[in-house]
Amino acid sequence: MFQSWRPLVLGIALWLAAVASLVPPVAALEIEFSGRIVKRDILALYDGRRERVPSETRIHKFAELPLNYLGYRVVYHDVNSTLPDPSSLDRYRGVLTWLIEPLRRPDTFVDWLDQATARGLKLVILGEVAPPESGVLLPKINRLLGRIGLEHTGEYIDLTWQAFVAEQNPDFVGFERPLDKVLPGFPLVLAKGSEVQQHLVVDAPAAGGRAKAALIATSPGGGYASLSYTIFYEPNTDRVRWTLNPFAFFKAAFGAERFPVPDTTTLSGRRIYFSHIDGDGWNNLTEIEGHRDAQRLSAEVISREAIQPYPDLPVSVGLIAGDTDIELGGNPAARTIARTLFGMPQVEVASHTYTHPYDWQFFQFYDRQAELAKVEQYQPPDISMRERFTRTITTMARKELPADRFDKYVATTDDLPRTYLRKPFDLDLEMLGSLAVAESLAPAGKRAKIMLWSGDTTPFPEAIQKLRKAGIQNLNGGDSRLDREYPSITYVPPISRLTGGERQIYSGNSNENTYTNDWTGPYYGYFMLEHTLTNTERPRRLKPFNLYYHMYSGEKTSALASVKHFLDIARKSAVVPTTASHYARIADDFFVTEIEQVDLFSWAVTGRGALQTVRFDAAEQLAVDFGRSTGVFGANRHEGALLVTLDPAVERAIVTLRSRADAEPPSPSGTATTLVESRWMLSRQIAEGCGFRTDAQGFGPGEMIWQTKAGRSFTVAAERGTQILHEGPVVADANGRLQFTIPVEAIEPLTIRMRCND
Amino acid sequence: MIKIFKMHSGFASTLAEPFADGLFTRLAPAWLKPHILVMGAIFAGALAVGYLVLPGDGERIAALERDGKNRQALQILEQRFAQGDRSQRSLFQLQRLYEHFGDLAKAKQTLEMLASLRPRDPQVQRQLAQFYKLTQNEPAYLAALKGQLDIRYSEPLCKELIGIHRLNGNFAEEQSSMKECQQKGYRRPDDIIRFAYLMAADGDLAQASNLLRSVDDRRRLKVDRDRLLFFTALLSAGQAEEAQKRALRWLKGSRDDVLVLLLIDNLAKEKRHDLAITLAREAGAPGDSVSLAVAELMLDREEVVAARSYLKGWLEAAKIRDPDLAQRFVAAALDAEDPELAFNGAKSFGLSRVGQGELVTLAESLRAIGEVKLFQQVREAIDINTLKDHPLLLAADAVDQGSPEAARQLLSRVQVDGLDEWRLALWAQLMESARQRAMVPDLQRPANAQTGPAAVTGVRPGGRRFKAAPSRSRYAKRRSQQQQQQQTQQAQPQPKAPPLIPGVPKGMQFPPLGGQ
Repeated sequence: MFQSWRPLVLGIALWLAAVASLVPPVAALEIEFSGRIVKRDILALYDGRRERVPSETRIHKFAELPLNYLGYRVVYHDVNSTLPDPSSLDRYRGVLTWLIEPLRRPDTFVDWLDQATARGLKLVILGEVAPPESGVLLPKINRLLGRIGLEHTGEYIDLTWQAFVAEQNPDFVGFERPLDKVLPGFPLVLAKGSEVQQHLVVDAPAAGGRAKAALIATSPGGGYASLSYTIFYEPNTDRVRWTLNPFAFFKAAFGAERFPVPDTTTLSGRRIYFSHIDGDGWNNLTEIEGHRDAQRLSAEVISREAIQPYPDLPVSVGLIAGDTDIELGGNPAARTIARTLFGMPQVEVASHTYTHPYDWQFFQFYDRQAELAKVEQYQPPDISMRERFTRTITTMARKELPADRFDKYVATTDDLPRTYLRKPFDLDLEMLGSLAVAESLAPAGKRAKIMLWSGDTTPFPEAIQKLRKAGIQNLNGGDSRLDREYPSITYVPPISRLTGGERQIYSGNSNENTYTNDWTGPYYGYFMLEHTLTNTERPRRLKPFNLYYHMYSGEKTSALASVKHFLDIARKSAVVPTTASHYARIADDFFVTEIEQVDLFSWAVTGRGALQTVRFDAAEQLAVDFGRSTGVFGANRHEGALLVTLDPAVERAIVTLRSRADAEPPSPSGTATTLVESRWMLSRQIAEGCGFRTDAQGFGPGEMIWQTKAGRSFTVAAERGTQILHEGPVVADANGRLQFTIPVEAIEPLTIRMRCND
Repeated sequence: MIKIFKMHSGFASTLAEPFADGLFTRLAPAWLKPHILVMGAIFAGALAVGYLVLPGDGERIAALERDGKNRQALQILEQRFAQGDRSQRSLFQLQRLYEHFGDLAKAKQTLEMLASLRPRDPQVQRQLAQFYKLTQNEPAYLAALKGQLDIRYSEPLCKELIGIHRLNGNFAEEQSSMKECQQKGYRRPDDIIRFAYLMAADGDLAQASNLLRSVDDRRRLKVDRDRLLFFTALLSAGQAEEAQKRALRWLKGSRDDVLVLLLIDNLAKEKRHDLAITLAREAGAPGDSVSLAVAELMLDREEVVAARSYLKGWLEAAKIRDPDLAQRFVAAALDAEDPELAFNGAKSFGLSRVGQGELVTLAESLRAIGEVKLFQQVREAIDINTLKDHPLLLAADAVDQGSPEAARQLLSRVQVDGLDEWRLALWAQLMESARQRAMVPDLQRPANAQTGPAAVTGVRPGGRRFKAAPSRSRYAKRRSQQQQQQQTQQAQPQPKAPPLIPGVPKGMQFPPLGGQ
């Protein structure tokens, strides 16, 4: 009888070994059952009395980016408002808190948290559990910490000069800065239980002798990081850096389960490139030689120097409608330039509002009288003493200033709430009206697709809602920097900002303002964008390549030189150029994409909209099993990650992984031809024998790399309708790499047909 | 014109007059009149001056820049540079133009050249440093900052240099920069304090103390943690008096019980109870948490009677509203061997608000000294969940309710060998009570317990107080833990002195029942 069991036992052992070979050495594979939705939501709790709105919270400013990178969506809740019913939290993977200041009702909060996490929700604590952590609350706090395998002794170690680091996991500690030599004070929290992984342990003198405090720990129940061991603030330079590795910590704390992460930085296997211009300075006279004598406006200089010569690079131009409105103080010449710009195929029509609000909060509860009072009180900073005196005397005499004096209804700085103040603020005009003005200056049929926020870029919910209902994307804010001056990912914002249930998409990079001291010089500062582009590409691709600037860069020689420098880089780089509105849609769709585990190593990706890349990190040993995948164009690698390109035409794409060591299973037509990377965006792949056809659209020449059988030859044709735009033979090299360029324009979609010659 | 000429000739003649006679007159040709010579000299001088004030390349370049013809200006400058012009003016202009055109590589090169020509010029060095900062060349920026500081001390530059090293986690560089800057006069309190912490982390408390002293002498040591470090450093340097004096100054006018108690703790650890008590008396007020520490310190010094008396007075002045304070008072009173006093304190706070752990200890103490009525009041405040973990109390309940058998069963399940002295006495007392009520022989007693009338009844002979609880007061707890540590550190266990009366804690000289 036992003999007959032997093959079965052997079979199971072999299967287990095969499964184990796909398990990364450090990550546990937590699979409960297949056919389950992968939970991507994290409930972030904050104290609204201290951090007024979600976008001002520590979680949003510091933690949301790494959480987004890991594939998580952060949902904010103020602990002072009614907390949700614990039984309604099933959609969440875990709860995250980063509380420092005393709560109003810590006891109520702890009770709720206890109920919420009793149902299996992971609990991740940065800082204190429920400040102030009084002795009375300690038993309840320990009940919560017990779920993570920790216990608070009630003691706080203030002086640490006799403490020393007993254990330190370099994967978790010292991410951007080593642990400080002067150990900060900490509460004495001890590890209890064998499942706790301690990543930082400090041995310190305590009341009962010496004790080993668990300062950073994770377990199946969640994670804990002591307050002063998360980020480090340096007061002399006023800069922050992570001590804790947030990627490693959140991954371990929220479960190291592998699932395809929706990626907003990549398309067709390449980094996304997009560019957008805010219309500020449109009507400024340029100082640049060669243009100054012709008294050209900055916008025209940009058009001639940075847009016309680059038809292969798309750019979204945000017109300030007020700049064209004579009644408000605009310049009619601006309309001519706008027509020229919007007439170019690579230019996307966009709006940068009508009257250019600087202070959006002022307009949420708008008071025209208050605005007019500001106008009356305002003195331009560059006004001469004589002019100042004249104004004062004229005003005291209750007389109107002559019209040829400066126009008080056109602000030249952001000391006033917006630029054009002659008429009362009108939200409809500001949003939809400005888009209509931009569209009216574009060729017939070319629509305005995106709003680029102005001023402090903190629009209120009603403004965003108007756009959403009209099907218009929105972008701006964030000011992403990652370089020597801002040496931390804390200065790289997350994907978006939520306000009142409406979502604002942050831009990919900062504009030239932060590099030029708010446009006071040095005007060459924007050259330093290169550092951020490099640092947000490696070791992790955190952001797309976004070239974002203002029209006033056409005013200064070195500023224009910097813009052109990056245009040249973008032209030569392996990127996928696309429009700002497309990027905004991708970013928006990160939040609606659903991932469902359908098999042990297979996931369905649905509802993804414009987002067409999913990513598997630490995937050196993994590859896509194309034979068991659906709606997958191909895959590329970047810094150890596997980036899978999906087919937009397939609503429910299935991504299946296999061990890279295994040979690719044969497809019905021989070895499949899969995409590695492409400059164009591809969709609707249809097999035709051993070849295929696919729709394509993009900017610039069609650079492509495919992977196929070694030595296989194809005839590649680019067609639009019945017209063959290009045709030619291509052959894969000895490694099966098929690299070619289709030298045609693809702003208008076309079809690529790959006929294999097997 | 002729008039003018004549006028000038006249003038020249006047000037020439001294030369009219003599050698000049004899040697010069006839047409070379003196006035002509003077005129000629003036004319030549004017020509020379005119030539000198003609705009040169420098001025031409400046004019071109002003007119916005920067390319032309650059061209001229580059030509001159190629020809070997390394004048500072040209280099300044070149550098400015390279920046204007965004040619940062050449701007850097030119500026570095300029800086090497003017190594002691603070403005040029500053400009170079700023350029490195703006172009994010951090190593060069740091070197330039140091170079600037070598020329001239500047607090903002020191602050920046130290800050960058600190931000990067380069602690050695941070410390050495701090040291160099301090030698030059840097006195920013925050950085000095930070330096002190770094010294302390290196184990150099003496130097840490010196640094903090310099800050405190300027009244800039304001954060509790920093004061605590300074205090600790002074104590470890044997300067307890200074520590106490400074503490009194810190506490003057600012109530901070937490800090005071911490400071008192530290003094007590150093066995400077005298200073600690003075500090507590000076900084505290009658009936507050700081003045309670006086009693705790007395207990730490085994001054039980004094502590008891102090606690009585303290309670009269106190309004106990804080649970932590209530707990401390109860523990101290029990440590002072006065459970009744502890009861009074707990009652004034509210028995229902006292922690369950404290109530249990209090109840056991009261029961042990025979204060049954007080015991029962406390017992009512203990909840059932707590009670079930304390068999001695359950047994007392059983005895009171006339269930001696139940009491004996409860007591028989207690691991008596693990009980401390006074709980052992309570156990024995309850067992005796239960036995007497049940009139059955003992079924179980500890190995070292004595049978018969020698068991404790709870009667307090001769006013001798009952040392009720294991030490729970502030310092006694630490003291007992230290004792435990010493015991575990010793290789051989000390032989225990046998009790005077087996089964009865040492020091309790209760007469046997029946007056034997």
